[in-house]
Amino acid sequence: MLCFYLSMIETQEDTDKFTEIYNKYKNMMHNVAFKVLNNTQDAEDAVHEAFLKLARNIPKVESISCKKTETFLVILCRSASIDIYRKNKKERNKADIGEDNDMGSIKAAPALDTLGELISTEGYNRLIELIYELGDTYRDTIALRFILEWSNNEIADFLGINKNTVEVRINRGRAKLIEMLGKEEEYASIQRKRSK
Amino acid sequence: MQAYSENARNRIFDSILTEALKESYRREVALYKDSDEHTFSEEFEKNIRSISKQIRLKQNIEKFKKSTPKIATTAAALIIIFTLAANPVVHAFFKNIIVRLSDGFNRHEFIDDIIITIENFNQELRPAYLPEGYQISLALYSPTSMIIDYINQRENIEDDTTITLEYRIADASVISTEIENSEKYHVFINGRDAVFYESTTEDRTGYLIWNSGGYAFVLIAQIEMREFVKIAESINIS
Repeated sequence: MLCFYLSMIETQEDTDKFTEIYNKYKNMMHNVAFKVLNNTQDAEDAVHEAFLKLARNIPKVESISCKKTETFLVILCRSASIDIYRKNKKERNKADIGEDNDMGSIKAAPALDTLGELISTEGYNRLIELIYELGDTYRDTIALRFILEWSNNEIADFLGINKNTVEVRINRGRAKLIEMLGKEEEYASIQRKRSK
Repeated sequence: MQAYSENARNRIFDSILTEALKESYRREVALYKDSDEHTFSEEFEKNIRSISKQIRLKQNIEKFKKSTPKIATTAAALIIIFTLAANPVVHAFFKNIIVRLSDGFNRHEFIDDIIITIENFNQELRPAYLPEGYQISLALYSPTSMIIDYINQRENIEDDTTITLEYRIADASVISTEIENSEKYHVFINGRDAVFYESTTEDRTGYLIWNSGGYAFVLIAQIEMREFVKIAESINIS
């Protein structure tokens, strides 16, 4: 590979941070990429792309060993892997289809019964399962907003998507979860009535 | 549960959702950490070292930008060095050091009749032409240099590459290119000599290096050589 650099004064701060992340998480990141791509060479390419992107976002990493950073690295690597998957397949991921319609502009509110259910351990665990069912595209975008507390602009810039698409993904992802929870609650309620 | 407003229900839900999301990622990370260890290829390790170098470069520019009070001292030092370097003996001495240091690299020194200083350095130089879909995504500047990244915003992922334009005061610049698996071409930018390197590896990264109007330019991208020239020629320096 061809590379270039200019002769300048050298500082270590960000290089050290980068190196430490590399040594600590490269294996984890490879596993993230391999799960998406199922091919070692492609997975290495994805990890390489992820580290290139990390280089641009290194000031956003405050602490190396924290949950936020680990979440960020998983999303970062998965995003790079999906890009490579799309390049290989030469087609868009199905999860992105139809993101430009109006459904995403509506912020859905959960019903009281649904909220009540979530407070229970069983309901909370079911929510975690449903978050996985939501798919990585929605889950990662929502996580960037809710866990990392990034703005729409930051998320759009990071994922290389339109700012409106970010809003659509967050609102639609939330709405889907509420809908799924609502249906389950409705079903449970019917079952309860029947058992009486 | 008592009747909450829609806003209140949303806030409660978002709060529970955040905690559930955190838990979902905690479980996922644990799973990935527990998986088998992978031995990365040599090529991969080499590429990572190259990224480290580039971070160092960008970090240095940011720090230099913040150290404005030191600029006067730096400028004075540069004036002394260049005054000394005007003496043929001293110039030959410095040149010799540069050549000795440059083993394994192609180094480009720039001589220009136009002298740009920190005072008249133009941070607004931009190409009037860019291939379709490219938009500015990042700009880093120091008193003596600019780095601008353009990213392809089009839907077609195959074209999703970055074009990086860097320019700096030519008179104080030595640009080093580490060449490995690359071919060198001589091209002309608005009638002036320029050098183009193209990687022969799969990524086909190209580097166009030229100087004009007192500035040294480097353009890096994965596009056709004629596009490099078109972009370079569209930068209006006057």
